[in-house]
Amino acid sequence: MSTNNQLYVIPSPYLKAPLSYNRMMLDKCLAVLVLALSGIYFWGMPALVTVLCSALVALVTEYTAWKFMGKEPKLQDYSALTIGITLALFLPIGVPLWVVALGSIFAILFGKMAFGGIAYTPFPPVAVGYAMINAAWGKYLSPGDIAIETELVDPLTELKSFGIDSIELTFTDYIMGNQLAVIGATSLGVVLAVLAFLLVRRVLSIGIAFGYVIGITLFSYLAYMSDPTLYADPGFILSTGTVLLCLVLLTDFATIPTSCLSRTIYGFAVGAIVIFLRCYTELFDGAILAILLGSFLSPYCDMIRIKKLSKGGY
Amino acid sequence: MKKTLQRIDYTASTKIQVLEPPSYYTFMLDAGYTSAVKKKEEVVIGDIIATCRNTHLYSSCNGIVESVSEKAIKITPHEESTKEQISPLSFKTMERSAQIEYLEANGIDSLWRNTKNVQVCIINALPTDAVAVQYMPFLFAEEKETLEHGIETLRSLYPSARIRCAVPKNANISMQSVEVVEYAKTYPYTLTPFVKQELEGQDALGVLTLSLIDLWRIGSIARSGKPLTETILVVNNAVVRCPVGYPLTSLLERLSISVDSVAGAVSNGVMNGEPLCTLEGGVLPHFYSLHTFKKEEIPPVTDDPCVSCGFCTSVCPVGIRVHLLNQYAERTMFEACQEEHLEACIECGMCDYVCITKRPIMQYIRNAKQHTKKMLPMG
Ligand code: SF4
Ligand code: SF4
Repeated sequence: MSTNNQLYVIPSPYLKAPLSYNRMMLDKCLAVLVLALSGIYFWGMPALVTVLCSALVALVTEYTAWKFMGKEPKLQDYSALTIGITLALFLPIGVPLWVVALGSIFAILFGKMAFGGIAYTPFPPVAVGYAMINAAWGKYLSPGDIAIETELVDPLTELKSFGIDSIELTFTDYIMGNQLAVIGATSLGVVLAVLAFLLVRRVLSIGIAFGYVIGITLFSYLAYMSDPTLYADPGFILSTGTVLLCLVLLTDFATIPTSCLSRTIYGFAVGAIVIFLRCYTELFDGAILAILLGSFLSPYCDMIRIKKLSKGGY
Repeated sequence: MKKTLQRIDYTASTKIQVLEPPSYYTFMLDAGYTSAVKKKEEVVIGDIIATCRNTHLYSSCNGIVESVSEKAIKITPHEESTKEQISPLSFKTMERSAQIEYLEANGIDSLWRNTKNVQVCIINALPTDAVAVQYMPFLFAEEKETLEHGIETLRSLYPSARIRCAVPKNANISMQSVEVVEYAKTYPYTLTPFVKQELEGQDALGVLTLSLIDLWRIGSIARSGKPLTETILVVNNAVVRCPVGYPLTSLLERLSISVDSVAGAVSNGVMNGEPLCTLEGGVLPHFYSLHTFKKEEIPPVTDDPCVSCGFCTSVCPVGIRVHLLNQYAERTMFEACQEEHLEACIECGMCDYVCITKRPIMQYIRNAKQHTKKMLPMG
């Protein structure tokens, strides 16, 4: 017994499940780190610099923001690091470092800290940072811009510029990373492995992943049916990595609905928006902005109640 | 959950142990009790030593009052007492109102005085706490006779009432004298007015509910004709028959639990039990369990913000949107709490158990309940 026969008192229950938020955040951090490493493996130094720059700026920004708010910095929840690395995943190499840094600052300040921390943010911070880069310096965001210097093909830019027939990549190319893409999505194989890990560790919810993939498949199929020469078939869309990589952004609990059904519907809706943005706008890759738009739907999806109030007894 | 429940798995190997008498007894006087004895006074088993309105605390030993303070009465056993022993009452032949009064004095307060109003009497063996879930079948198996005495008493108290016993589905419990209804299928079970309504197919007026533990208490009083001076107590994974007032430290020592390693303890269940702040006291009459925790076993509790992960909502057996309710309760938005069906919460603790940020959700909810009670016009 501790001193003076006093016991530690906590409110009951005295049993708690082992799953904790910090562990989930660590899992997520590890997941994006693996994606970043794969990007560095494929792209070398430029990717490393982008990732480092984004991550460091994110950490420093968050530290300063906490200090500025007069609070103890909470960097140990890995969220700043994760946001920094994740933002870099969605950038192609060759984006000027000052753009990366500004995007990272924006993501932390206006995506997270302005709302009081990760628990209160209505939009995924990474999507906020990305949207700002897209709005201000969108021209840097197409991986195709560096295509001149390499032999690799960016399927999405090709599709936008030259139509579906111009793309000659095979499925193995996608899996192995023989394509031009943003840092995190170069190899579909790694993306799928990381998503599987996140699913198993319950960071990514099954409902969202399922709804999202179904939404993408269904609507891209509809688009494909309407004009096969202009729009890609679902298999193609899903093979390009970036679209799937966006699932990493759908793990911010505060921005997604809470029940499994509403998450499935939400995922489906975001999937639909992705395809819509791809087909009807000039954006290279509408997925990340679709998530930003989708966040507005989250509270509405959450109104769906699956469980009836049973008032006790089950 | 299963894994955690193993920690409190005491049914498999357990037989009820009877303890050696302790070297002293201590009766805690919290919750408004005032002492009815003086220092050096001689007491025998069944003497009233403290009272709180019409409830009494009875001595569970023959002995001499060693000290009386605001907090506790300490009694040292003394077998060669000169005071005459109290002879057992013939409880079964007593007047109905006197029986109820006597049971109330023993802390059984869920009985109705107006016996005509009771149409149905449901014995509730659907506990919400994980410890109690295993305690109930244990009572059925080991204390059948006492329970039958309890039922007999209920029959004589409420002759026109139908008596039923609600147990979990597939619990394989049979009782000779009452109808057993299998009701809830998954943990946490509960028996609220709404369930009663479902069980009875009509509104729940006229339905008296009594917990199985209370039935056991009534049974032991009726059987012995003596006040309740012992309880069957689950201590970690042992079950003991323990006199009221048994000092907690001696209890743990007898069961080879090192008192020094205990850093936290909770009585009456681990999910919604009552935390103890010290081991100085003794066993109280309403205790049915005591669980101790080493320092590293005490789970973390934080005031981190809710991240809206929805795990709590997915486990709530009532279907409350706990991810909203707990945040309203934390921010003292009590009206919003009521809109989220605060009052339907059965305090099973499941939301708290799964919370990934380790928030004290139940505490927020209880606090909100206290406040909303005050908000009602009737107080
Ligand atoms: S709100 Fe929590 S304690 Fe209340 S019934 Fe639901 S899970 Fe149980
Ligand atoms: S489990 Fe905890 S963190 Fe998750 S929604 Fe419920 S209260 Fe919030």
